[in-house]
Amino acid sequence: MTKVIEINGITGQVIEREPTQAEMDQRTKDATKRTALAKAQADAQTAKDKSRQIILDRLGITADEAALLFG
Amino acid sequence: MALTTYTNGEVLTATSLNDNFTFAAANPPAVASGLTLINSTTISTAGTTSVNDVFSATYDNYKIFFNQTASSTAQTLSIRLRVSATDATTNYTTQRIGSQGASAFGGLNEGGTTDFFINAINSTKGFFETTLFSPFAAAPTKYLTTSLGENGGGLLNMVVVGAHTDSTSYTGFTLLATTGTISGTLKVYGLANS
Repeated sequence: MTKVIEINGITGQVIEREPTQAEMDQRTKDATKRTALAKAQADAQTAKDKSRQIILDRLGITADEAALLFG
Repeated sequence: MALTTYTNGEVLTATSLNDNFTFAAANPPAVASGLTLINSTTISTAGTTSVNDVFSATYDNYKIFFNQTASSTAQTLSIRLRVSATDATTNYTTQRIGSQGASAFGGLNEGGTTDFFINAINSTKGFFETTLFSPFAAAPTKYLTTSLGENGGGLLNMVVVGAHTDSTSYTGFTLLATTGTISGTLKVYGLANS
């Protein structure tokens, strides 16, 4: 687990310490959230790519040709 | 060398006048600045950096600058508001727009709603400038960050705006390196109210 730096804005004192259990739990929770978020975004992109390809297939044109048509 | 003053009828010599010019050049009048440095800290290999007691009734708005000198891995940076040694972990909303190479992108809450997203970083090229609007007021805090980051070896610029919707008075913030550690210089300034 990475260290925590705490800065006292009034005195300028800097303390380096080990994270508390609550801070470690929060970091784990954050990591889980980020993984889920990244997966959801990747899944959404994959679904979008699939839908696009279905339309291209119906039109019988390539993605490059579609880009030329629709900019 | 002191400033020389004269009385009526006194002879003003070239030497004395030149000394006064020298004095004036060495002692320019204080120029009022809109920015006041509240805290400057160089952080080294930190995963979490909490800056306490930098927001107060003295200033409404604040600037935070971070110049990254190292990142242990490819990761993202974000900020959480903080008071009484506790970070606020909910009720953030952000809208971002960015570009990498010729590609532009944007989105709402793409980094989630548990912090103010800043950017993706790696290596040593990152920096950000954040403006926090009224974090000390017991009202929602507004947020604006412009930054340079790195993603997949390419530079990534990002502008993120947002708000923290709690009506809580915050006195500090936490800078989160989400996966590994970061090093760099962190500065907090207060913006003069008038």
